Amino acid sequence: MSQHKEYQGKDPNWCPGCGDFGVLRAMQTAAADLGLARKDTVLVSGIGCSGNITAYFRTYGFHGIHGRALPAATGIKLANPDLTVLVAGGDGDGFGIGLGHFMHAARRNIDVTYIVMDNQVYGLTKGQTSPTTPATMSTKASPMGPMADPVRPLELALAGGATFVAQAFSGDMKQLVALLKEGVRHRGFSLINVQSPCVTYNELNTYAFFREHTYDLAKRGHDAMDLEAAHRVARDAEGVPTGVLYRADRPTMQDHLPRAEGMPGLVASGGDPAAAYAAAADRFHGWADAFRVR
Amino acid sequence: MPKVSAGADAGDAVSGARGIAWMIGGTAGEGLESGGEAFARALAAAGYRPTTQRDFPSRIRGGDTTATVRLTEDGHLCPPSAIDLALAFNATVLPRMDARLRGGSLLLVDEGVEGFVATSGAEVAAFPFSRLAQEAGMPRAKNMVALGASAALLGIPVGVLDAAVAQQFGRKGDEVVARNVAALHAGDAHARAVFGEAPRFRAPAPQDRPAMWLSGNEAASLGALAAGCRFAAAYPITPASDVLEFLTPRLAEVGGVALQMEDEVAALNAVIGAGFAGARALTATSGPGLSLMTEAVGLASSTETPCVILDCQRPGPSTGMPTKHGQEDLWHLVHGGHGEGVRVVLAPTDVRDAFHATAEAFRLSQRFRCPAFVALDSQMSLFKQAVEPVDLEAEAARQGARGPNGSADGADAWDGTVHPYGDAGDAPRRAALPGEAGGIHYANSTEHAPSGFTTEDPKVRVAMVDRRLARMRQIVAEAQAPVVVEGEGDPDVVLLSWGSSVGACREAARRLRDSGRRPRVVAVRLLWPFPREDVRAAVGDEAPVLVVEANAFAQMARLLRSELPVHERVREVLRYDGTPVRSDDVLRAAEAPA
Repeated sequence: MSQHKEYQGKDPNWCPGCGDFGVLRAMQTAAADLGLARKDTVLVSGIGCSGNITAYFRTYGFHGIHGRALPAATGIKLANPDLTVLVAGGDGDGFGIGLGHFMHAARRNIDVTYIVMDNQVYGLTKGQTSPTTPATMSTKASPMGPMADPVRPLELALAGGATFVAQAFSGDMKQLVALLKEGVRHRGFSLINVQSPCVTYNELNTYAFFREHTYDLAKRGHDAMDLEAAHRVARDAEGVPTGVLYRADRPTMQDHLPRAEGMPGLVASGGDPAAAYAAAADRFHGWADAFRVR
Repeated sequence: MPKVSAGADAGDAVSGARGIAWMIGGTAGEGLESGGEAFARALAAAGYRPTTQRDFPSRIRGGDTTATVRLTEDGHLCPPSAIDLALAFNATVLPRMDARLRGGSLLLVDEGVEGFVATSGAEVAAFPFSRLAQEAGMPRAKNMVALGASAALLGIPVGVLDAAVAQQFGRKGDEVVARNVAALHAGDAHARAVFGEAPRFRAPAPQDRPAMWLSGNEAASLGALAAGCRFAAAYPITPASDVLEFLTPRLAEVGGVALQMEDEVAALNAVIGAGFAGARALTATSGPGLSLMTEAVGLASSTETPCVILDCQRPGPSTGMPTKHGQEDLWHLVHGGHGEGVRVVLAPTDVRDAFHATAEAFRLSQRFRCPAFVALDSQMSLFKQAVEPVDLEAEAARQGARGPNGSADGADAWDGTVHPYGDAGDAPRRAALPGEAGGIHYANSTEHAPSGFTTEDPKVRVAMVDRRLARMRQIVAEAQAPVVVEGEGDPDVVLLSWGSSVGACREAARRLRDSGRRPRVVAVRLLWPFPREDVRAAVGDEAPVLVVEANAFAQMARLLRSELPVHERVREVLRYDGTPVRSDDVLRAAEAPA
């Protein structure tokens, strides 16, 4: 069995005590437990404190642009379905600038695992409100607070059609590792929303807050196959549910794609267009001939 | 530096030996566009060199529509300055058609549509389109009567058009075909009886050579497929939508993937993701979509990820004029976006070249690890042209195969042995692909060292940027045909253009040669990195340089002036009314005193 150290990259430059350390360590442990081959794994990230994680996780990585990690991951997974594709980002990245992409990735049921480090604040730009900032929290840029209710990612994921919806707390390593492993094993779009405290800019959502307010769904008899129950739990305004809210088996976008027997894959075709042409020469002739008028 | 802008239609030689122009108009649903398309296709099959123009109204009034076909000896993409023969089925479309006519034109109006006085000076005559169709037992076959009459008036053997009927109605059975053929021949016979056996206009003689009949969007799509493209993601937008529509079923046949994404931002990011994974991937868009994609173009530059973007240009900022023609994106394609990244911008010169330029965009994008644009425009994207057949196999072979990434198994960027981005002075090389055992690294949108890791070290930064500058010089050196020069000897005028406006220059050059001038056509095919030395050689030292393009800001002319000391010789020839540049525009400027 490989060790989590195999997946350790650069040392993170996150603030000491940042919740993201726990998420990174849990990802490395889950990867080791699952025996993910480093060469066959891609971590895609966006922008923000969370986005730097690609340097810290020693597999292939794609550190893209703000909010666009999921579309890039969609392209990667469809181009090479043999890869295990992980996507990591923050609440601003995924539920602010990237919210539209989040809904559509869920709807497509793209087989990627989306790990959100939700700290309810913009950290890298020094403490502005994020889409999940509580209405009661004021910041330097928003002294009146966000003047809006927070986005509810779990409900959105369910509404979008995600087939694996879970929430975790970065202070609970054991549960987080287990959920990440389940999410990666799940075939389809999986969201693991991780409550990951920002120790620098968020004085409300602290480790102590989450220790007090989280509760484990598994211990409350929650039925993760029950969509209505999942919605009820996702709407909980008092506590912070952790564990698997919802799980379903639905075809992925990959499953809907027509199969073309005997054709080289996308990556092979890209590597040798002449061979790809030869494999489908009759079709190419047909397409060209359709335009031939004399 | 006199500035010569295009004005209204002027007298032209379109109805002379060089070609004729034909237009049909009436109510949408009367088979006008399909009839025009079938007409042109049949003519292409008979060896003529047709081009089509779609004359979309800027506003739909009364559901009127027109279709235009032009026949010239050379078949360049270039609209006629005026229409020779026009056929109209209703009264409301007449003013719009009349605006394209002139003295010497002939306008045939369906019997019963009365009282129209042409202000153009065209001859107007009634013609029994509806009655002859009814007599043929197919009242809807007015368009076929019109095609038959057109054959007689243009000196085209009507038998040539039988194929058009079969093409359009074959699926509906023999009886329908027979009645339509009857309508076609009735129109031909009636026109000869009324107007005489000698054709009123003379189409250029057909030529016995092989031909393809297709649009630029179709040609570009074929070029992409030949170049190994197996992933396409896009968002619908006029006039780019039919690229994805064309590619989707064909990609499915060869195991590729085509996706309609939620927006253009997602489309290009998905394409870049696919490119990072090793697929050859493409998106197609137009103005507003191009603006949205600009963020991701920088991503492709920074991460050195190949991708190809077809920009089917349309005029105007914001929504602009979606169905009209313009070449207003040059500066955006060349400079659009923050920061300084490597990119390739190619502008094909005609429909056939859209095939080659798109394949070349894939080749350059792969070799130099950067985004590559292909600048099409409405005239090239949507209008069809009869062209010499393209060779998909040769284009596939020219792409070359991906070599090894050169890293030992297990080596990665973290152990310091792998530099996915290469070092200064390195030849271009590819990074490892996910799935490869050697060369594991991460692609970084943040400024990075050759290792891929983020850095703000001034020396490393300078080295990385210098490497990008070197790439740009290499692209110019290796690009196929960065500039196309046509015309023998020492020129007395240089017609410099890009994209489909090159068609107007080619046509104008022929007309200038006919009158004893020595024009040279210079088509800038590689817009960026700008092939300065090739263009310097092409424009020579003395002759006036007419820079011809479909925009108002003279985008190519200004780019040219910023690159070469040609200020005193440049004259701008601009058309920005939403229609393509005409050879008249060029001719007028070439004949104007310096």
